[in-house]
Amino acid sequence: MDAEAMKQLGAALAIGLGAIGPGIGIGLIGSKAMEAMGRNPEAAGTVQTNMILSIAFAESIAIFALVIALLLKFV
Amino acid sequence: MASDEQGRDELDPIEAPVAGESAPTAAELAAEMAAVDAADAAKAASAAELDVAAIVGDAAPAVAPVAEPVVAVAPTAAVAPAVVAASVLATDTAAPEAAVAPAKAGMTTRLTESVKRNPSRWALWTTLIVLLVLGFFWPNVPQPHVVLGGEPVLPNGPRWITNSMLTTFVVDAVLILLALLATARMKLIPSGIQNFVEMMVEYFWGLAEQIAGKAARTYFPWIMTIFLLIIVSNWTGLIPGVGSIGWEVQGAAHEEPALHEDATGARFEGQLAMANGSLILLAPESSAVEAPAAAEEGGTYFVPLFRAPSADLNLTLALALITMFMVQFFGVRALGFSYFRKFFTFSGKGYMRFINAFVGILELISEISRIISFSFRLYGNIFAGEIVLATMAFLGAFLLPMPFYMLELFVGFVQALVFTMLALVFFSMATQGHHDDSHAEAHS
Repeated sequence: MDAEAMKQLGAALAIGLGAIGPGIGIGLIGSKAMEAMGRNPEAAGTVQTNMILSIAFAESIAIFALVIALLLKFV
Repeated sequence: MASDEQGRDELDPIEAPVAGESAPTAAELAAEMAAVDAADAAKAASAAELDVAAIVGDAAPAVAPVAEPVVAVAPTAAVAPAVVAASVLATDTAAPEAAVAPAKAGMTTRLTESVKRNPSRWALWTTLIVLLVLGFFWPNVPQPHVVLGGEPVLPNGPRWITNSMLTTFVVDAVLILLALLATARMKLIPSGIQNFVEMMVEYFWGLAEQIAGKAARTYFPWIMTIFLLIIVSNWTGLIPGVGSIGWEVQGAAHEEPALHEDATGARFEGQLAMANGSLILLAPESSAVEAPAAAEEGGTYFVPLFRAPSADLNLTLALALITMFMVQFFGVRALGFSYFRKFFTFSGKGYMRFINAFVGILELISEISRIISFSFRLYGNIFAGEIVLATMAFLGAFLLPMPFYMLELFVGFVQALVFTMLALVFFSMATQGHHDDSHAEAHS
């Protein structure tokens, strides 16, 4: 396997594996937020705001993986 | 014979209004009857005619004296009896295919009726199907042209006039125009564009007050500006023509021949340098001015005139830098120079001293990583969305990208909201005291 093929494989693995954790995390955040909204519908606005923030934090890990994948693919 | 009669029936302007909606059906039936057998045809047709006339009776007062009396007589109510009579007659004359044929003919007639009733819906469906088929067989769909950042529009002009820069100017103009239009004739009871803008502003004012409390007045202009700029630049990438209108540019002659050895390598290397500026350590000589795909397409390459500004790292990095600078600024303004004790601290007793010092270093690192996550979150989302749209358009032109357009509209909005809210939270976090809740802050 030559270097170019390894690069492609590395990029795919980077984003593929790097998306697992944030995916699970975002799922957990979403489920807990839904639960909270179900228990306390009056607080839905606050919960939603904080949910989006938390999702953004979890998502940034995936973005780092995307950066690595882009670097591998295009540099 | 059947189709002949049906065609004549549809074309004849005199018969159509008199016959009503189901006239073609009756005509079809009669035609089929006539087609059954040479010997029984006349009997069958006349029988059907008689049946129809007898059953309909006074329901059909307007009997037009034309060549085919069956067609003229049959009103809406005559369909069912006519079908019954026809089927009975068909079985009588022992022609099995004749029993099947009326149903089929009736379906096509119903289809034409439906087309006549609401042509717009049928036009929509037909267009969709034609587009679907066309999309699969469309020849020479251009391959998705992945460019990481903006490219200089003018081949010999200044390097900093990139297509994303140009689009940023357009976005600015749109925003200024929006502001002018919204505030041109302000009324106490808003309407139209003023109403829309007020709604938006009120929503974000509520958000700012909810998160920042009394300091919302200070942060609000920043976050509102950031939100408007980001959402408009996110959505510009979805306008047809952005990214697809452009021209072929001659590859630069002074490119080093070493880069030409591997065409794809040269292309990607050149593009990344343009996209990432100094973040990626590449020589500025090898940036995007030098011919992507120069070796492939006879020395020219395509440069789009417009490109979504947030699909270029330059804009998102600039926004992140500004935001994080303002975070420090607000922090210093609220807390004085004690703000920096968040990063360099030796407070505490005993070994807590070192732990706090280490936490300060972590704070410093997290402050820097926020710049990266801010800029790459927005850039990655919008750029990935553009690639997804281009790939879907490549796989199945016209129809396949449509759901992804919806998705990208949503993603553009959510990313603008996330950027705005994170900026707001960081602003308000920096202005709060560092002693009580320094360990509770989020690390991104």
